[in-house]
Amino acid sequence: MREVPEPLDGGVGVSLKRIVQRAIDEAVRRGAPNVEAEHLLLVISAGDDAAGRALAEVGLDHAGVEAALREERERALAAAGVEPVAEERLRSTRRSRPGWGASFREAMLRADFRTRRDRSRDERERLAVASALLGILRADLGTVPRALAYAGVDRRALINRLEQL
Amino acid sequence: MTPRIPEPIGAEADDLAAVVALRELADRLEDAAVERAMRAGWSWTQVAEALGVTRQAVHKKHHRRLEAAGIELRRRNA
Repeated sequence: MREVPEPLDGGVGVSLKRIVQRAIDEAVRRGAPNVEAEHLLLVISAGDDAAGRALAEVGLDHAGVEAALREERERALAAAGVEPVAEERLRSTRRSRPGWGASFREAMLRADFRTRRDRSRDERERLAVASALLGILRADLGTVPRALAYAGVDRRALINRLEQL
Repeated sequence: MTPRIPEPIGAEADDLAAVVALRELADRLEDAAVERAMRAGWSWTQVAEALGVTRQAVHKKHHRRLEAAGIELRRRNA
């Protein structure tokens, strides 16, 4: 399960590998059965590279992303009339090998790491994480776009900003 | 005609998101509840019966995680 999904296979830069590894750790820490796009977003928001800075500029530093995701989850449960369950009741020994979630795979496909082919290898490496973030933001539906909408973030504007990098 | 992209928040999207959130909650609650029961000395058979699934299913899903946690698993009737 730990092998990277196909779109990431081969020629993955070190910064991207590091980010993906941290996303796996984030999913494990949260007791998630799968690594999803939101875990990658959380990790990227904790970085101080171009992608992390672009997120921080719209209020999505790591704490901002955490809060947005928590609000999304609470509202989604509320839509079914369910109150959040106390964290201590959900605590358990984690699975050490989560699978790859559909939203993570989609984000990697949408990242389209080849679009900056005109740039140097170093430059592409520098922007690989920003490309991954673009892949996450390009999803119109699901947990991440919902969380961003609740946080009042203009997803389109953020995409445009990242595409200019 | 360009297909309309629905908004991520709204009646239909909220119902679908509720399914995602409930599934995640149920998964995490199951992990925690099975672990608590096994720590309290329940057998795989008893946990499976309480969950309404087969012993094989619950064993396959949880045994590696609980073994790694060092929980002494009951072998008899296990």
